[in-house]
Amino acid sequence: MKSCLRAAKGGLSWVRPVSMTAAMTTILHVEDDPNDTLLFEHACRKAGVVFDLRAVSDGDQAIAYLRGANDFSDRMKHPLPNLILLDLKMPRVSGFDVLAWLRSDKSLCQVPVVVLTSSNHDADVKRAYDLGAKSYLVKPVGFEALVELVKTLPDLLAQA
Amino acid sequence: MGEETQASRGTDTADAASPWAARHGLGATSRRWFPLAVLVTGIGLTLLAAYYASRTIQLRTRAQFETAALRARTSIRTRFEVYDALLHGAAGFIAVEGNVTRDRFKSYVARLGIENNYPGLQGIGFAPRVPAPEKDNLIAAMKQQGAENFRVWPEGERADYYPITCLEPLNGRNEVAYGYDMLSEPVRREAMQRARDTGETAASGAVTLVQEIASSQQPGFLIYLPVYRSGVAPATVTEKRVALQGFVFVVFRAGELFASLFEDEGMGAELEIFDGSTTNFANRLFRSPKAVERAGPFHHTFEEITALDVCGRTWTTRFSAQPEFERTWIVLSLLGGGVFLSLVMFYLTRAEGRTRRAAERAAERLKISELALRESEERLRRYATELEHRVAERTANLAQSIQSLEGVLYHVAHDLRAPLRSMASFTQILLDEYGDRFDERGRDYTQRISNAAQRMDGLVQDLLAYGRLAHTAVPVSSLSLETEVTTVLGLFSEEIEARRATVDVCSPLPAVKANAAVLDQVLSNLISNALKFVPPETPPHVRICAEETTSRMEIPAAKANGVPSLDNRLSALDGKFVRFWVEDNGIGIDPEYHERIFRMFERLHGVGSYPGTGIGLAIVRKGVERMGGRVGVESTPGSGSRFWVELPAA
Repeated sequence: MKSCLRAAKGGLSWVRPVSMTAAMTTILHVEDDPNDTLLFEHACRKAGVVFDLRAVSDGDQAIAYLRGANDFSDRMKHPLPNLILLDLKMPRVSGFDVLAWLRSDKSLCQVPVVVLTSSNHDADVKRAYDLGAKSYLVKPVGFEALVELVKTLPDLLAQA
Repeated sequence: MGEETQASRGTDTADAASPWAARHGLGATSRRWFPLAVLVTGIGLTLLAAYYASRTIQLRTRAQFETAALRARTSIRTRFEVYDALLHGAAGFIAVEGNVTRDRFKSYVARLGIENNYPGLQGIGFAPRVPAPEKDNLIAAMKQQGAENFRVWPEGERADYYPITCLEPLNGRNEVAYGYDMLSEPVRREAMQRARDTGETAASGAVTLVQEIASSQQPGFLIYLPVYRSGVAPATVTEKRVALQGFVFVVFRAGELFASLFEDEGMGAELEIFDGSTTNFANRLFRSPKAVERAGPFHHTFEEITALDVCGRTWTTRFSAQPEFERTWIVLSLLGGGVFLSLVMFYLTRAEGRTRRAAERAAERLKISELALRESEERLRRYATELEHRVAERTANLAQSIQSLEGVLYHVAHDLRAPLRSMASFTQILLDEYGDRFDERGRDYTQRISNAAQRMDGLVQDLLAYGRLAHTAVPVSSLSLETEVTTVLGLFSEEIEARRATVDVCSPLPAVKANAAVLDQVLSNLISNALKFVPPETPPHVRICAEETTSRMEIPAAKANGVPSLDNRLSALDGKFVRFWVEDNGIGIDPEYHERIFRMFERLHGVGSYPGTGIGLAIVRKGVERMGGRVGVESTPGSGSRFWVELPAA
């Protein structure tokens, strides 16, 4: 945690300012429900924001992607994300595990994580923030609401 | 004496029994033997006392007996000394007279006063020695003196005759003896010859007196004293035989003699006098009438046999006696009294023992029942405690079950939402992007799918909210009710505007102790309902007011059901609290449903007319209860509803 904070002070050399080239913004979407993945893509289109969306279906894959392990070793094909959209409730390795792993990794702990989950449980919210989540968003039921949510993401990136 | 000792001892022992028994830890068995011990001791002491008394009496009787015997012997001896003197006197008189005449002798004897001074004496007489040649002279002389019928008898030729010539007092009995030659009879002869040869008085053996003419004969005897011619007894036997002039003699009827001798004395003894040195019945001279009746089992005969020399003849006296009846009676009454007292003591101690044992048993029973009572109480207390524990345990289990159930419910609801989202969203996308390819009906159906999904999500969300309320902590703090109301109303601004509703808030609203999120949820649901349950075409009118108070609201519906509501039982409102209410001009609620509407999934209207999940008011109640408050409704159908909430004052 401390190392991570020092790194933040030292500069955000690897973070590209997304506001300048929104099209280049890479988002790693960690989501086990393919419907949600699809809906998010659709909402992005509907909202008129363009992201380089990379979707993985569970925590294992997310960690593998971030480490550049296995299939994800080619950074040209699988660039490091500017933002991680993280579901919490996933089989095997949960979102919390991913958050905890991220915090322990000096090179990656600066990547902002936005939790996007169906849980609005207070305990989940608190735990996610404690593990370094940048923001905590609850999946809306209505598609329109999802579109509205997607529209707020560029602002979140700008704050980061 | 014996009785007293016995009685006092018995009493002491009885009194001392219980402390003694208590000190020595004696059981009931020892105490049961105690009366018997008293009885045995009492009878033992009685026997001892009786033995000593009997022995004492015996010794005393023996002493008295010996005294009596001594006195009797002395009396006899003294009396015979008197007769001895009498005979010597008579002998002297005859010696002086030479030839004594009947008249002279009579006057001599008359002066003696025989009957008064010599009791028991049958007679005193004189028998001269008459050689055979002088026999006829004597008879003649006697006839001359007036004895016409005088004769010497028994007949027979003898060298010397000794006929009785004088015998006084002269009476019928003695008259028979006149002329009787006593030497002719062996027993008398022996005494007479002994007297002649010794010059002393000599008593004869027992004889039947010639005077015994009546039917009641009794033994008799005689005492002879020789009279010599010189007046003085010669030195030798031969001289004495030559000088013998005759005999003076006294005659006794033994019975009369000894009766007179012992007539004054209560001897306490039986006296028998035998002639000779043996107690031969045939030789018995005298037997005293029984001095003492033989009586009682303790008679013991004392006996003293003594030889007595009476005028040269040996007599044998036998004294015999038994304890006097009175003394025997003392022993008997001592025995009887002692035994009686022992029995009384036995009975008393036994009765006392029984009473004591009965009391002890009663005390024991009482103690046992007290113990049993205490045990029962203890058991009851244990049961009560156990029951409390069990109730607490069950309650805890139940609470845990409810909590885990709510947890499950929460997770289930949570997972239900994901597919719902997809359904709602894809339907929406379908409508948005492909709506123009549907006809009117197609679009309607698609819209219905979307609506149903949305409604189901609402349901799930409400369930989640309810579940969260049930199983998460609800910390409370001081909040401005007004701020919260304003915040929540802000969320409804669009709807208020759309429904052309008016909302009045009685500012300022007081502060309350509550959880902000929960309070917002409660307010949100109540306001939502107030806006919702209004007839179509009627602009809703909502009024939110509050007051600080100490008197609590009644919940009529609960009373109507006869069952106290959970609110009434569980609410922890004490002292000051805040009551606020949300009033509407809506359709109102039948009092029958005032309690039911707060339950989960209770709906009074179809989804078509007033959409809702049926969970909203359950959430309200749960939320209010978690914050330590109560909620209720006052309403009549058609004239609006007034939901009230009581919360602790800040």
